[in-house]
Amino acid sequence: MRIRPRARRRNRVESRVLPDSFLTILLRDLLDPEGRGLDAVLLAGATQDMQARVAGMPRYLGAGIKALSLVFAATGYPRWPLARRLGFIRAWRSSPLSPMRDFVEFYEKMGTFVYWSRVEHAAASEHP
Amino acid sequence: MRTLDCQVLVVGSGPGGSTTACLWAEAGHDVLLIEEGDYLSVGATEPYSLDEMDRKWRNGGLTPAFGPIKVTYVEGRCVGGASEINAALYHPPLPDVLDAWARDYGIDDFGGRALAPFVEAIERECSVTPYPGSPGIASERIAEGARSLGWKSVQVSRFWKYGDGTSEGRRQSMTETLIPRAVAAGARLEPGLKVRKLHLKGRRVTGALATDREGRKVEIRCERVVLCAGAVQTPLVLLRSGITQKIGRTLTMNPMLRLAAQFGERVNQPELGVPVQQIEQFKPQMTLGCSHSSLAHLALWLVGAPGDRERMLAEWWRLGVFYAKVMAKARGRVRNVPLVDEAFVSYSLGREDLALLGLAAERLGRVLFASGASAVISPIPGAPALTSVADLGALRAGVEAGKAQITAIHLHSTVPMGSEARGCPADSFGRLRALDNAWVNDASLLPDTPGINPQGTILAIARRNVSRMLDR
Repeated sequence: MRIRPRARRRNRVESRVLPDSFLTILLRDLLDPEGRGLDAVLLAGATQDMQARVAGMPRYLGAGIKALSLVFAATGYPRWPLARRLGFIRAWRSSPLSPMRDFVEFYEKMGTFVYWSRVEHAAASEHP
Repeated sequence: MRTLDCQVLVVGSGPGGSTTACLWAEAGHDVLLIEEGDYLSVGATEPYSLDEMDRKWRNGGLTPAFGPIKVTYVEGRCVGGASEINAALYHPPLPDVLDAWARDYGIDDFGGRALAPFVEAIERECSVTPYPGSPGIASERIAEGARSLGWKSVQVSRFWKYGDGTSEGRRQSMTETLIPRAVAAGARLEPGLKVRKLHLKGRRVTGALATDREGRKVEIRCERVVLCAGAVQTPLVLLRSGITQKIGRTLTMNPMLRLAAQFGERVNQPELGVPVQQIEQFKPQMTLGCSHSSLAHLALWLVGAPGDRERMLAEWWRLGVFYAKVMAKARGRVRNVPLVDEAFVSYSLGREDLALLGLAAERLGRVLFASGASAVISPIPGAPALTSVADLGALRAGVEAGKAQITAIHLHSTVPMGSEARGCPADSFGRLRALDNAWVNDASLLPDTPGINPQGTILAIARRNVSRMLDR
């Protein structure tokens, strides 16, 4: 078959657009607000997956998410104690402004999906 | 700058494009089939996985339609298009729906009877096959539940080749069927090329400007073009080329919502793929069926539900995801976002559509409880799990109020075919009225939603249209 070879997969490190530390804390707060403890390795992988998700969004949409993420991070959120962080998330989740609600929904749903994809993949590797 | 020449340029390699390229090439024409995404075999990615979303879906699956209620939809972006990423379930075109389209949109030589020979051909060539043996526990449960309610349910055939009486085998997507045939007949397949716009000289297309993966320009010269890039990308190419009249303004889709349900025993058998049992009773207005239920997808559909998610997921084999899909009346629009050349899709679900979705959710809940579900997870954020039929009224009310997450997988009708009097930009066989040598041959042509999974309908119509193109 006359088929040109497919392109290399996008390098996920190249596509990093937000601070990893911020994303990791945000995902942990959204996925595990009770602090039961997520697997650190899987969470780090999920952080990278989320970087790729944000980079792969339609540009007009990705620009909005990046801007909101930077606003969110610029408040000092990553340095706050857990209770204050969760309160801040609650405020955004119930905000009258839909972009703020959408921001929380996006990271919660997509973060859940990528984290549990990692869990699933790890389980499959252990018990193929 | 790289330059490519051909007689027939086919843009997009999904079911419509593959059919078009295959039949033109087999008729002896010089065909160039270009595709924006990569060439990946059927087994290259795990179905519905993050890896597949990265490599075969547009924007990793993050494609929303904006409106009073946001609807997220999915587009394939790989050689073979949607046929590579869907559940491979086959629904034959519904004769009543086709007859209504012929009448309502003034489509010549069209309808259930006119399309029948093409339907037979695609069923044969794309290996439409009933599921062999037992369809699995989830399907059996749904069948039992439907029976107890007096509702008709069916096992849906798949585009699939099975091994010797086993349920395994291989999906028969476009990369397994029509694309190899097209290439064997001499068609050139070029993955990784995105058409930016068509070059026009008066009413004729003389070629197209494309870009490769690195953003380098590629000039394509052709005698005729057939656009088959799907219901979002096909109108975008036309809009960017200055063909704007009636293009992209009548988008339809099949909105759906999903419910996760918990049973007392195992229902989840990922090795069998998407369970094939569906409730036939309310088609085409409403389809109820089983969905992909991997751990990651289960976790996703449990977001927002109160309770111990980890504990539920620890017993994932008792959980399944199910869907209710409706034939909505709403229309949407596809616009090109200047500078970034991306689609902006808007779609306004009306009160009537939400009422239908609410009824569909209630019916899905009823059949799940009748199938033995002990709990149904509400898609309304924060709402408690439903434990009996009596709870379904609240679910219906929440859906009607627009509180549930709504998704869509089937988009159509952005360049509808039909008579000029009905405002259709393409004629009865897909030729664009604004141009002399350009056709559309994909989901964009369907004048309305067929309600069901449209792949069979698209394949049959595409085949019919190419037959007419070749006759002329």
